[in-house]
Amino acid sequence: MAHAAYESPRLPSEFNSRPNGSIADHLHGIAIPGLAVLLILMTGCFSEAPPLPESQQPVRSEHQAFFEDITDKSGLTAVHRAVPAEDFPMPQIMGSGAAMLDADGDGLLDLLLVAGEPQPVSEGAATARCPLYLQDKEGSFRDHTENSGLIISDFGMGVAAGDIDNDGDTDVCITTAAGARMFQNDGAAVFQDITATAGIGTSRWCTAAVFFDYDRDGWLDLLIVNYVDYFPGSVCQDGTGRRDYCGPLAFSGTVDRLYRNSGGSGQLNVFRDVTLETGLGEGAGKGLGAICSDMNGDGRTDIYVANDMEPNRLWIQQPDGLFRDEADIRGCSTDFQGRPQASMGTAWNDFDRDGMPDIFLTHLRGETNTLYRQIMSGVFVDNTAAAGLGAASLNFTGFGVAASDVDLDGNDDLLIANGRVMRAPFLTPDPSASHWDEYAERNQLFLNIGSGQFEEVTSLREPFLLNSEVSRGLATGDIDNDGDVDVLISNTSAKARLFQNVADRKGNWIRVQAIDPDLKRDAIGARIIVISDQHRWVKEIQPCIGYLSCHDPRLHFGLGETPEIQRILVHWPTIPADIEEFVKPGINGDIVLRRGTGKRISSADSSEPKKAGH
Amino acid sequence: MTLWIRRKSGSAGSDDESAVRCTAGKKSRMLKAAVFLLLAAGVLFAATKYFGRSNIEIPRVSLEGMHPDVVSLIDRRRRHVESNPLSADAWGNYGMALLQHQRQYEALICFDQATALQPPSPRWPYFAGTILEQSEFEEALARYQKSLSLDHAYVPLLLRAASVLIQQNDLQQARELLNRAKDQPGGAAALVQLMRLSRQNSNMKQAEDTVQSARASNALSRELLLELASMKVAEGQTDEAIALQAESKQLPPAQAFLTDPWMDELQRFDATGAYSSAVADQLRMQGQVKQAAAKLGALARQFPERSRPALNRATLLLEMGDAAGAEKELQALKDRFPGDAMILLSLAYARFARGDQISAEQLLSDAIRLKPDYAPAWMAIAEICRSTNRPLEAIAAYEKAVAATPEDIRIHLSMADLLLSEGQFDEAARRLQDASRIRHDDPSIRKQIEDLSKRLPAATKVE
Repeated sequence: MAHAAYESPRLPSEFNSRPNGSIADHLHGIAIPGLAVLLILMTGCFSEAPPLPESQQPVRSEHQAFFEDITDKSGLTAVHRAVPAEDFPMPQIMGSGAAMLDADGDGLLDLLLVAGEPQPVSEGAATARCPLYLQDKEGSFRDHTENSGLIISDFGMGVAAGDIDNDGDTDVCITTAAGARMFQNDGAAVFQDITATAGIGTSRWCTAAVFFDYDRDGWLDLLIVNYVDYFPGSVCQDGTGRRDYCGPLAFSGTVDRLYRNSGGSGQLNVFRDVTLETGLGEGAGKGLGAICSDMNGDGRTDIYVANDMEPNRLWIQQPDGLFRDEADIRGCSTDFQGRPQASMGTAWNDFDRDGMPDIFLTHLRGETNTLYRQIMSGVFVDNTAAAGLGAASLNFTGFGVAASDVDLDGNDDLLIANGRVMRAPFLTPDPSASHWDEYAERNQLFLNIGSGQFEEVTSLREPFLLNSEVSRGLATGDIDNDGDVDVLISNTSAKARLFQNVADRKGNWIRVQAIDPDLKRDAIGARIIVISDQHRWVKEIQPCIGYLSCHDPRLHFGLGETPEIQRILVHWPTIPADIEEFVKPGINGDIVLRRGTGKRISSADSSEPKKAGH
Repeated sequence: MTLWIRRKSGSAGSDDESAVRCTAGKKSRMLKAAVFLLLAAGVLFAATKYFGRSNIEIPRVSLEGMHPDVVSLIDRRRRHVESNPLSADAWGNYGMALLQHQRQYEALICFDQATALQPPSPRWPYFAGTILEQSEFEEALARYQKSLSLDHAYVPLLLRAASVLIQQNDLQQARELLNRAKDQPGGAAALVQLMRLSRQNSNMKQAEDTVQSARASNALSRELLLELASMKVAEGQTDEAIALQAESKQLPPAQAFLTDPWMDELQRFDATGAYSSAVADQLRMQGQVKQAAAKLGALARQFPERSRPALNRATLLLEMGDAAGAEKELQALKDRFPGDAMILLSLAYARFARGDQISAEQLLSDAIRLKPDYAPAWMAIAEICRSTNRPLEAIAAYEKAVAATPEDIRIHLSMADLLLSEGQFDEAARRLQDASRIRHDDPSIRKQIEDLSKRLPAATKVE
């Protein structure tokens, strides 16, 4: 009958807070006392101040901006709601996400922001409307929030966007700190809450949500990542006895849930919880981010879950449909030194262009963000240091992340949204500082300079890096359809920001949409391989990745100076496996690849055994 | 003064006079020397004061909002430095107090100052390094190098320095340090790191030899086996890797072999109870329940504004069979923290243990109102309903518990047991089926599933 309710001491990883400037900067003025000082004075032996540590040096101080902050002129006015409270409710410091999606089917990207704290409405429970902005042909955004029907009743966390009923429009699942809600789109961005009948009832603290077809039956299933078993009202202190937000160590982990879409059985918009029967019930964790993809190249979709201060899990799908956690033995559960990290956001891109996607995770202040390079199918090594991504992230707490080729040089760069989860101890408290100022950090941009090597852009004139805010969600997409990738950032208790890409273009590009006409939707899970005479690029269609966010489902490829694409291979996410080739597709424009219209180059019959969950 | 003593104590005569003359010459030289020394000391003192005031400001931190014990400790340590500005220990101890209470920037200044005042001590640069390794690798390495020059064999230091070198991709130097550490007590972590570095060469023979030698010397750790498993995966031997992964779960982590006495000194500077809390936790894990309860009791008295020390103590009292004592403490806690579902649950347990089921059930309902997906509370309600012959209510409560925590095998089994008693065989089979899908290492659970399955009619079988 007894249960444990032990306080766990907080880890010191957040304790390295300090005022502006590096610690080394502040030490330069310190002299050695006593005789040593005299000797130094007498001999006139002054040493030069050592140079700034490499991690603090600006990489590209002189450059044209990469982004322009167009929030105000775009019409985006949404402000996230998170009211500071005496008990420091933990969901406030973890949410909320954002999405770029085409909600009304007009071919233009719209913006969805997950709402934060609900507000009491007259004589009813507290609710919050998730801001939805529809883009018009002039490129402005119109507030559609009041008519969208996207209403939640708990603190909003993440969003998944996908067509769950194969009717050609984008439906939405929004996770909250106490469950998830499913919304069906009528095609004109008016959503109906179908949670009650959708079969996804849960009261858990849900974080990332991903639509993906794990059993490849043509219907999008749903992964909901769960965080901790939270007790609202719990009181936590920092290491000095000051109230602060609780960390994950204060609570136990929970099991992530997998819901199978029953559309194939004729039950539209109904999901069945297959967590236990697929083996996912075997391991609890404190999940925040996820990657749903074939991560070991065996043709089956796997699930990678980024856990907060616990080892990450890589659920490899077995031939019988059961999932088995193999993260430990595949090199992607902990950092190089075997330490579990506070994993938040995820990216799954081929950073070194070796044909195999790699994993990138954002982490807590005091830890490095981590790059797991895939060295052979399904085998990873922590390559953070060699990639130049180690020291630069130590002073930040990373959440939202996306890997996109910002400057079109042919290599995917990294955009990271930062913001602390514990207070920064200031030397001199500023009475005018708001509650959230103590958690604010600037964002980061890392340029991939080739072969998976990164350099940080630290110019203080770069608008993307200018504001120190508590940033969480980060969604990318080409909002103005001009061939480069723009960025939406969600900020806690502040307005969201929209950044338009204005970078100097270093090359060509294509934007690929792969559609299965039978399913009337984007081929989520399709792997696209773009091949030129000298290069190849690999990407996968999975818009729901990063931190609690979804991106433009169209794949954007920067091509560098490549003048011509020879062919594009599409691995359709189906059983049996189906690969089609599309030749000479052209560059610097949209390419729509429809299944069945390319040259079939492989179709293997699959004699898969009966699968778990069916 | 010495001269005068000699004249008075010496015998009269010429020898004495010459002695006085001679001593007078010495007196003059010594006076000069004394004056020079005094002047030098004055200059030194003035310089120390000057530089002490102008350049080496004793760090001052904002104490606003901190716990009074933390404020008092930091203030005390700071004043000690003010009175002893040339004491390395004063500076170092102030640094320790600051480090323990999240003021790393200021702690770093203190450690660097202590290093300057006491160059032979390897501890001060080590502490500085531990702070810097979280933000600036180069600076951290400089401190670790200084520390290593004074103590080249301290294993935690070697490991930390190697860790920074690895993060800087300086693998060769890291390997040298790890080789120095691997054969020393606590070197298991170094062995793992070396194995990780070796994995890049895919030298399976070397890896297997390393594991074998670690096995022989009782230095086998969880991580070492996982490293070997990773190499097996890379060679396509996935089944072997899975077996190694399973075996690794029975082994201690490499960190368990390591102690860091220097860092452990921080507990002398703990004013928030973090260390005591960890110690209590450890005592409980080791079965020293009374000692753990005493520790928690002291923490509860020291920090009355916190609920957890007293709650943890009360649950320990329950474990020890002292339901009355637990109830008394939990009731007091409930009065102070009425919105804490964990306290309500524990109080319900205590009341239940004392036979007051009605009150226990009410408390559990209150806990569920605060946290609707509180599986242990639903499970406890189910058990109360069951013991009071209300099977339908019990089944409903079990269902809630399953919905909240479907991965908890005990709930499935308890529910299946009740369903079997009630003749609801199909539903019981479903619960047993779910239970059998959850992996567990406890053989008694498997036996329980088998026993319950035997109670199913032949027509209803668990897949």
